[in-house]
Amino acid sequence: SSAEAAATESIAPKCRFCVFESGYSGHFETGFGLLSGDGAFNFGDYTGLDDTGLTLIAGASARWREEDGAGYWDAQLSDLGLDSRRIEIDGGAQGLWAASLSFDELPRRLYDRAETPFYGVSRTDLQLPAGWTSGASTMAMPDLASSLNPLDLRQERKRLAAALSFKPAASWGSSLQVRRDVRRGNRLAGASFITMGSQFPLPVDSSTDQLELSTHLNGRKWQAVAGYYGSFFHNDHEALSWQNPYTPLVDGGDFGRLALAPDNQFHQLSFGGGYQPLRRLRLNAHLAGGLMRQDETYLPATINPNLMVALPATSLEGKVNTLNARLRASMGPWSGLRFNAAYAYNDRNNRTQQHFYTPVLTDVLATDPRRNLPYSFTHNSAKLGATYRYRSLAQLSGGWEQDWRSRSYAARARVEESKLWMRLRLDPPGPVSVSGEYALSSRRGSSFRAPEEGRPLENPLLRQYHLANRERDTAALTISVNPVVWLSADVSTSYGHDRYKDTELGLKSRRRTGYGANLSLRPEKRLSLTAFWSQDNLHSEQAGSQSFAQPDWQAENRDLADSAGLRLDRKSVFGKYDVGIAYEFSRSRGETEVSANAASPAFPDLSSRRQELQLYSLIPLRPKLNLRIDYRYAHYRSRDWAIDGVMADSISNILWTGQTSPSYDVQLIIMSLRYEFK
Amino acid sequence: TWAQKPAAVEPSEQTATPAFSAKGADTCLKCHDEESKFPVISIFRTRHARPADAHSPFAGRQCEACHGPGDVHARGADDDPVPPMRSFGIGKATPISKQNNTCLSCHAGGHRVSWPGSEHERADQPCVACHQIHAPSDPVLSATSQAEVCFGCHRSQRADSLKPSSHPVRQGKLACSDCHSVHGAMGEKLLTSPTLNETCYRCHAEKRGPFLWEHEPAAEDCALCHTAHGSHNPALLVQRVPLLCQSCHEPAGHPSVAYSSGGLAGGTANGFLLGSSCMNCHSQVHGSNHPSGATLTR
Repeated sequence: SSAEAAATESIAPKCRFCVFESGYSGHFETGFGLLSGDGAFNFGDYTGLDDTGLTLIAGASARWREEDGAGYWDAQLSDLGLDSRRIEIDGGAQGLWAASLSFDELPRRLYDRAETPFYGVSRTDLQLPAGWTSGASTMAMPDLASSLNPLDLRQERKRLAAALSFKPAASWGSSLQVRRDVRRGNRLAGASFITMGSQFPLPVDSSTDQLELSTHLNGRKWQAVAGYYGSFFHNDHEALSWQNPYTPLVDGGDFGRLALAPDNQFHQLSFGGGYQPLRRLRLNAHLAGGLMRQDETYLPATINPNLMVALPATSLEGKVNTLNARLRASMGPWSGLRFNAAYAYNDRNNRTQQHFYTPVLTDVLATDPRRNLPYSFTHNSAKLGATYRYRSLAQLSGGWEQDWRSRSYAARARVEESKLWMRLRLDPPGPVSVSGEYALSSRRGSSFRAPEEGRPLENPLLRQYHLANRERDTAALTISVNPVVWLSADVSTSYGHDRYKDTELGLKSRRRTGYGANLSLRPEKRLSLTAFWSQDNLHSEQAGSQSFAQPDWQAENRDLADSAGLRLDRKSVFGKYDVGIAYEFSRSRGETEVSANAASPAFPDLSSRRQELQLYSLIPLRPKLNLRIDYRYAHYRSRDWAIDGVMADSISNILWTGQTSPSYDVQLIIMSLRYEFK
Repeated sequence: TWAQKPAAVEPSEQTATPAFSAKGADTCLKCHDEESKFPVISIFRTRHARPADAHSPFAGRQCEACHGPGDVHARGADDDPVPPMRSFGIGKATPISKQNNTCLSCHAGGHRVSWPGSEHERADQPCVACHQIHAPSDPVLSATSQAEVCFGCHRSQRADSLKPSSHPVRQGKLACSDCHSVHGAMGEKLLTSPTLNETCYRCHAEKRGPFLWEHEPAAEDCALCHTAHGSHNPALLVQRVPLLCQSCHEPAGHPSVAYSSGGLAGGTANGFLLGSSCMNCHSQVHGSNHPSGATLTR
């Protein structure tokens, strides 16, 4: 009775009433958007709506279906007048082959009110104005205030992708996907001469090419896939140099140089399969082997000609092998009862050669030779689980998981974690259903050891949180109410607590609690309403030692986030208008307490608050011609003590860029005509 | 009426020798027109209604290819209740495993090889919990509308997507399926690549390295410092700097100082606290390939 068997038999009755699609159809949309208000630059982050005034609104779609055939083409063009435009075209002969081509732009708008005295002879050679008088601190730079120029921090990511797939028979098919991501723009980065630092724009001009080839085969009781994935990153720039605005600490210390992300490659072969030897037994296996390579020619150890040291190699010749394997069995020996078992192996084997390098610390000071420590790790995990379902009334699940990790050069060579979990879902007759889950895990490991040669000496009481002993509890509860088909609501709560009881220095606790409520109404086909609210609390505690001895300070972070939303859609008002309203609200607050200095006042809160209201209506003017009117109001405020009020010369040893926390208060009106054709 | 919940008794198609209706879809369309309680005409604008594709249901038993033999149902159209057919959705009489096997009988290959035993399958999710089979444009297949489908169950991820620092899911520029292979995957959390880091490197390949000087946690697990779905902190960090860095670093000669509010702008304006904090100097936190970048400052 399988659909495939039914579909492939030549048994299709002649259908008189079937309205199979053929020919062309689609729509054109064009109009304008009027954006007004403050902070449009920030509003344009990811949306492309970053300029006040008029904006072209344009989009289209087209589709074609072959009459009595399998040929088809689809095209979608959206946001053509914005920097977030997207074009997708796909087509082929359904069931035999398909091809697609897409283009997508992703605009990032980071900060528009930054400022810097640096200017680029090229974008990777930042210099200060001619005649710059250096100083021992930012306050002692007489030319700083008059040399500041506005700086926009923005990026554009353009993605071009193509895919081709063949399915010559129901039993096998192949596909090829290629994608090129090109990024242009800048971001902020910092660097220093010992502790005399500067922030400046760093170019992110780069491209990544990805290629995926896969083939799948299907048998009656088995399926198999095999594939290759390749990723090739290319950075247009290898380094960024900048002029030292401070009084040089050493002769020749007039410039510094930062290495940018090196070109690299990743190749991976993967195989997977599923086999069902018995009706109630299913086996799955996956294997993937990868190779990372990086062979960018090294920069000199320093840009300072007086401190030049020899390098042991001209490039890293970095090689990392990865191996990932997973086996999984799913068995249901009796009705209602099912067992799952899984084993996973993930290995990163860094085969990069080791050499002794003589670092010239921040282009100022040649230090003792230091050996690179290629990082490797292995992660094994095993899982056993069972689920028992009593009819559709109740479902009880439980399981055990074990995790083993080993790491090279880490303060702890091995850790292992055990986890027990259970989940219960009750769905009795009536409108209420309940689901709850609880999990408990415990992590232990080998003894902590002294750092490897060449690594900084850390306080021996420190327990890094990915290595430390840990007890973890997580729980969740959801109550759903579904009194009538068209109404559903639920409330939920969740809790998670990581306790690092044996940690004296480092993270000691992280606790998360969450609450939520959701409502969905669809009393008739033309009317729908959804609403949600959620709250999220994150609390962490840690201890530090400024005396490099016993703990002598504690800190707490409390982050609170609320979000809520409402959406109402109504179709065919007065028989012809579609209207809708959507509202979103989110806010967050971050509290920071550091206990060492009781005389200091509390940190101000970090905060953000966003509201967005959208209204739309679709008004039919003529058959096939509609007028769409959208109104959008968006308000965002954020405060961050780390950057607000920090000017270029506020910090004596950091030449800062003076940006402020993002905020906006904008209104957008869009009027567009939409013509549909067939 | 209470919302319909799965019945203990399966539909009659399970117990009797089923018969297909003699006229196939024509029989169904007599009742299921656009005015009926269950309109179906929109399916003719989908891939399933392509008779020229030998794999399409409409090249075979048409509606009954998926909904099962419908002769009894059609003959009892005036009965109350109407004899059931194979129906799809949460709370429908047809068991979810049977619903899904219907889909998998054609769609078991490719990335669905891992469906059995995967997270969504173990959670008893029917295919139609996410897919609208009769809709000309299935919302879950579009980046702009997919997240709303996923958020129907994954509520905390929706809340995270509204936080100040988040991936562009809310703006429709990133789909959940760009990172998650929802039909089953090799790695944890249904990620598209075998590991979390390999998934992140699909868009952030500049952080892949390998670097001469590695920041080990970054090379191993991006989630040690970042939270993927949304954060109150810049750059999706799990905690504010400098406290995040001070959770793991207490080196000799570079003490882990308790930076207090006295170091804010307007006070002493401490460069270890303000701006990018530790990253004012140690900006190469994902690794450095500079021969002098051992401390991730170059």
